[in-house]
Amino acid sequence: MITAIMICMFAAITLSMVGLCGFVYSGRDKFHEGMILGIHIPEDQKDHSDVLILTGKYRRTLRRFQWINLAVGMIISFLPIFTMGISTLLWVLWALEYCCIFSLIRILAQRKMYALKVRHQWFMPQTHATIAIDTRVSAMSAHFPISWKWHLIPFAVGLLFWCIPAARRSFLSVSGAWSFPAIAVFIPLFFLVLHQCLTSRKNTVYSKDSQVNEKINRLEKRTWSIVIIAADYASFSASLYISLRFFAARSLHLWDYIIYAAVDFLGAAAIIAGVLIIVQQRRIFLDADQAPLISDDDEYWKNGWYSNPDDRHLWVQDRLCSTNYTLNMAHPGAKWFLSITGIFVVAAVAVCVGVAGILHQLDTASVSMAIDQDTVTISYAFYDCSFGAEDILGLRQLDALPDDDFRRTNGGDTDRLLVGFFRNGQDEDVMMFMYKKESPVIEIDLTDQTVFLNSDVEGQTQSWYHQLSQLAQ
Amino acid sequence: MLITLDTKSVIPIYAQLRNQIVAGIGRGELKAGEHLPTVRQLAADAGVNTMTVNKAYQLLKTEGFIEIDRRKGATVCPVGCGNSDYREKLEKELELLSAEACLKGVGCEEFLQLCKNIFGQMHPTCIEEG
Repeated sequence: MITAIMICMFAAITLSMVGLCGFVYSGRDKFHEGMILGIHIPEDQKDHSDVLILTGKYRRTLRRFQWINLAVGMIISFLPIFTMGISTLLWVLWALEYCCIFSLIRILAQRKMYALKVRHQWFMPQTHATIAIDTRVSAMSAHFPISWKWHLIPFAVGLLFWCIPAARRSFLSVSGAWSFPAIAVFIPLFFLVLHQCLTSRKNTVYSKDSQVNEKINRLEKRTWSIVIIAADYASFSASLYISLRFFAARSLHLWDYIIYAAVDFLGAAAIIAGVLIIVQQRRIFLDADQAPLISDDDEYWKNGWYSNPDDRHLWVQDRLCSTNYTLNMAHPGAKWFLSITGIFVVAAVAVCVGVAGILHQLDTASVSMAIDQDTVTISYAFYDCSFGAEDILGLRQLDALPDDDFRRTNGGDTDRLLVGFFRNGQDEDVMMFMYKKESPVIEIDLTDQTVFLNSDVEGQTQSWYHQLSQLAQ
Repeated sequence: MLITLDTKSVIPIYAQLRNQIVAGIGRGELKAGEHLPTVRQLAADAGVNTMTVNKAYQLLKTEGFIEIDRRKGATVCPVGCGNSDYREKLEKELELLSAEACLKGVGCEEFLQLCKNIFGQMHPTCIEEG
């Protein structure tokens, strides 16, 4: 089951990442909004031989890169069938490589296009860099988005879990269960902040025609506000469902998690649909515009990223993807943001490498038992358990693991094995060194805990049981 | 109305804002009674400090081009009659412009024609008329 979940998760993220990047950044090699590859050039130069060579090369490179990465990403997504640890590490490294090289291809193409513009002096004096403001649109823009107050309803309902003493006690009484109502409060807060960030972005002037500016800015802000509210309500409904299920039944089943994921996915689908609507409608409005306003601020984008010391915005609309934001590198905050993000990325990769190492050890190790004089040591990878003969209170050979509610506290629970520290239904400590599909199972009652173990080698479990029986006598 | 600000110009941003709003009112692109963006919104859209926009708005208010209401925000004022202070200011600015034109070889007729053409573009209107 875990392997199947990992495969589905890796494959879904791979497909959506490569697909969305391909969708959003495709077509930038064609003349659109006065630009090719994010650089303004006169329209009569769009078929210049140098431009055609550069855009052709960019298109081929991007297409090849996309297909190769889609293939590699999908192959790695299915590797958990063989090894969980290595495949996790490989997938993280692949995702990192994809993001870095994709950005590099885009940045290099933009730099080359700007160099081409400088070489041919394709500067248009009437379009020099200026800041444009449409006063009519700015004055009415507060009415474009749906109000952020809609997020207060799920936030208030989420708070109710904490305000009702019975509910609060119920969630706090079980280890980790507090996270369900905590998520129900955190999600509306997160979406409220996101709502404000996306709807208070500056109004952009696209045209000398104020109606066009109004249409596009209204489209962007209204659509963003609607999809963020939809995503908030979907995520909140999912967390409300799982909180209520836990409150009523005191435990959760696989179907609960599937329903949670499905309802949560509706929110993600709403956001993706919103992005597609914005991109499509914006293109329609701009193509129909008879008086486009072209402001040539390419000198701020010549490096492939935005760097304008006169702009006090830290985040600005991305030139190649209007629904995306990019940093203003000339802003002092950008260096802080990049440094902190860099630290987080390095830390995340380090954690992934660590997790991959742990999973690899869990994949490749085997249960072993050693008896030294009257001390027994059972080990699997980095989990071990030692006890003396006098600590053994009871010893049994079972056909299978007893039907109990075992909860993992610090250990591994894969398709193949159960290993590490657990608690049973009576909240007693249990250690497992168990292959799930192997039988029989040895149960050792100790003074402070119960140990279950078996082996995947034919006859080994019986041999261990015999040795332990002799020791216990 | 479109306002364009040049960050590399020697003219301060607040003065560019003030001048373009006055020109916009004069040309009828901003009608009397029309709402202007709030200080915060205009500053956000222009990517400048709110103090810069506030300075321009205060200047426009002092000169009688706009009025600022706590509740409604900034609105364009109806066309009024120039007082003696304004005529004095106009004379001084015309004197400077005339001197520059004269020194650059622009003749009186040409200068007056230019003034007439530009003045002819001014059609201040009320929002009800638009």
